[in-house]
Amino acid sequence: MHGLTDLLPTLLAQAANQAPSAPLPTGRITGGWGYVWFSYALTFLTLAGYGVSLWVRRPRPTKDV
Amino acid sequence: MPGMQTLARVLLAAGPADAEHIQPVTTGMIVKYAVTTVVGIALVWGVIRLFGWIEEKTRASFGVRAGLIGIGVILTAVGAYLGLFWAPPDRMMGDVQRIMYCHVPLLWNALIALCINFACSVLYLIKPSWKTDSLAEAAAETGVVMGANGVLLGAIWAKPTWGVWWTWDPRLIAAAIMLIAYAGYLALRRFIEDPDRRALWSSVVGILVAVDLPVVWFAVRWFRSIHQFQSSPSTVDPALRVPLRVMAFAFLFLLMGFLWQRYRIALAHRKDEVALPDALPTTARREVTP
Amino acid sequence: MSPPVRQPVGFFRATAILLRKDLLLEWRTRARVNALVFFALATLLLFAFALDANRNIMQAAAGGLLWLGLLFSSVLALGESFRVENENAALDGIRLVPASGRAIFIAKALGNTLLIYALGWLLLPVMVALYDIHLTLGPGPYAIALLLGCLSITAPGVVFSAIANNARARDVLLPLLLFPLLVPALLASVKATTLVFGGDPMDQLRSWLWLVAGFDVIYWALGFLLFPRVIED
Repeated sequence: MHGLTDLLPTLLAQAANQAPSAPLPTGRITGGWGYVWFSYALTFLTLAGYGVSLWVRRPRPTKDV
Repeated sequence: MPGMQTLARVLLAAGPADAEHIQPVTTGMIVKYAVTTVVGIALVWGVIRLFGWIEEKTRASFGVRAGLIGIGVILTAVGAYLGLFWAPPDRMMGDVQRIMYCHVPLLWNALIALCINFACSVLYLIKPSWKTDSLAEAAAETGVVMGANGVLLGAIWAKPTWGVWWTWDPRLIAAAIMLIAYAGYLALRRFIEDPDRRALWSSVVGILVAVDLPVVWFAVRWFRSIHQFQSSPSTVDPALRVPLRVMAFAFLFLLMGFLWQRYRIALAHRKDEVALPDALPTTARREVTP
Repeated sequence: MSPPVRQPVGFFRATAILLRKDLLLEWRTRARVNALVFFALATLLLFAFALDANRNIMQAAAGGLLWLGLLFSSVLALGESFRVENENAALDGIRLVPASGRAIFIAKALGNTLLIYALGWLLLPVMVALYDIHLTLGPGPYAIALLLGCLSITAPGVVFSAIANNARARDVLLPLLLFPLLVPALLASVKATTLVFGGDPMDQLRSWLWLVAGFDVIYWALGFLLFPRVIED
């Protein structure tokens, strides 16, 4: 967590931007749930999609050639 | 062994004068890595034998694969619940930090897959077999899928925390290079029609790329000389560690299921290719037959 | 009286003969080398346009631009180097002589290294003219940095070129395989060359050169080990 100290000004500015009504910026990033939901959805969709592609490509016993 | 030691010393001592955080290389470290490599390759060999045994001697193959994926899905659901709702928000990064529970396990498992690819490449050069070749193909593809997903999540995580989608951080550059290199590996496999040559050449490329990756890591780190952003389990709060571990095992089960299924696809494909009668013209058939 | 048995030539002699053959081939078909030189010149010129001919930016980026130009040229040279062997199955002929695969690797890699190395020297006056660079540390360090960087490009380049040469879409495949692998060596070479151009107040040049030399050892050892497997059939 060392690198975080360097980012503090950015984080503060961000927090201030995202929560203009907050009385004091605490240095913590607030909100951002959109990013979180998107990430989880993306992960599950990718893994599910890959699983489906593996099922579609499954080796079939009968070859009609 | 002294030769390796010298080489490692040259490599590690060769960084720029102002580079920080360079660990000294000890003989113990080199022995550890060498032993790990050999044991890992032996382990993969054992896994291939196990797959083969289950496939041939039992009828449980489908059940085992479905079971692996099923456990993976259940654990993923549990992990997602823990990560999204149970774990407290991070002190600094707030709720955005929850992305880590997907991001880090994805990349861990991608690295496991790519290590399996390396082991298979070495094994193939020692003793050619369609099974090793198939597992190499499976591991590369699964690794690239998970790795690309993980890197994408890293970019999404970077946006709210660093303010940009991408920084030229050593870890990010190394990850991007890794993905491109293995994309090249997969492209190579598609572009060679002759299964023998494909297996042989992709093994050579797999070894070159895998040996190159740690080197990329060191080189980029010296090139950028930025502070590191360490996140090992020991520095992470226990409450954050639980969902991380659950998710890591969830994806590990998914990885095993995917690998096995993809391995079967590759193996069936190989058998079709090899079984092709000689009279049929194929584009890459060798002209000279003794 | 049995006919005299022809002894297969030794490893070093085979390498020397093959290298001489490659260089002779380049010399006899000078059009290829010429095309390579003009390609590199065009690349440097295009970089200048891309950077809006901004003298400061070009000066600062000169090391990177040089290596990009050399890298693109080397891809052409490496691809060409195995394409000529395809005619009349020349590579098979060489292997039947028999010449060891390792001798072929060393000869090919050395030949391409010489080509790119010469190109690097040819580009130097052009860079001075176009980008207004200065050889602050003198020609000696430039020679070393150039040679080490060229060695690191050609060893994996020869292995991949031999592979890509027999695949479909070989022109795409060679850079796709080669570029990611070369990133570390290129980073170090760019750093070293930038120091040669811009001066080295912190005395860092030596360590970057050692780093490239380390990559050279790794790449050449791997190529030497693996190349015979690539061309076996």
